[in-house]
Amino acid sequence: MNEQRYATRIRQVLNQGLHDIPPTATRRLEAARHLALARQKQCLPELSLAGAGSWLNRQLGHSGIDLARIKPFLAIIALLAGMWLSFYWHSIQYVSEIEAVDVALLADDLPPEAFLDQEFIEWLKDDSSVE
Amino acid sequence: MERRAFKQAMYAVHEEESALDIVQDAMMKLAEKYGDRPDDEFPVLFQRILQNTIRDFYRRSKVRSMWTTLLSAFSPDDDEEHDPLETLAIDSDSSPRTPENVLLQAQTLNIIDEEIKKLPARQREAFLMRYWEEMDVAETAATMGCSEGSVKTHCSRATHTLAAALSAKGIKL
Repeated sequence: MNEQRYATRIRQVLNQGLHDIPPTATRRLEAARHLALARQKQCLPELSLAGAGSWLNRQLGHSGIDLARIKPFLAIIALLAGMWLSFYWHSIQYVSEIEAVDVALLADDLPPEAFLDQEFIEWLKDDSSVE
Repeated sequence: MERRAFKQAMYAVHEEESALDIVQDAMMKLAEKYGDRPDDEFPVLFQRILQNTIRDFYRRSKVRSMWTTLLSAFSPDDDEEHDPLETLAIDSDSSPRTPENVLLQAQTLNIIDEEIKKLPARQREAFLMRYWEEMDVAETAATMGCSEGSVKTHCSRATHTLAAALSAKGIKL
């Protein structure tokens, strides 16, 4: 016996039987469907940059790309960009601080208290800072 | 969709009113909890909810019957107002229509309905989801919480049981 073929025939009979459901039951099922649709949970607006998000959605929609699929990649790219920006900003701050000290040293403009600071003397002697 | 669900519930609980309640509950749960899911997920989600609602019904009726048994032990009169066999008898009573082939079809459907009701619950679930709802083996397995191999076994056994029962009654499909 071909199981699939036999099951398909049973399905055909069962589908025909769907028309024989009592009208009272059919009406109640329809009412239940309407009630369920009325209470259907709606999609919540996503917490994203609304303008940019909807624009991107539209653009991707036109190009046939499914936004849901590339969302994880976009999130990773955004994370990496954020990390890079943070690192870049910190490095600029660090360089500008060193720059200020270097300028003061070269211009012989350091306050006398600086030479009393043991850590500053150590830092000056430290070869690694020269490298 | 809701008509098939109603029939599935009828096969399981054998009572129209309860079957309608089950389908309504399942539809409400689907709409309220998973209404924001993509459309293609609905059939599988609905089946999962429907099967769980049917199981809940069984559990509740088991508890109810336990209490009824306990309470009836204290009452002297033996009232049997509700007999589930009565509803079964009404279900099997087919109303004949005029053309002969329609009558034959209706009789075949009734016999199939009865034989599906007689199947073990897991076999019936697997068979209906796989072949009536046209879910694939993986979806059926996920909905039933069992392995794909078990789904295949259940479906195969159900189909063979139905084929044997129908051919014993002289029905060839």
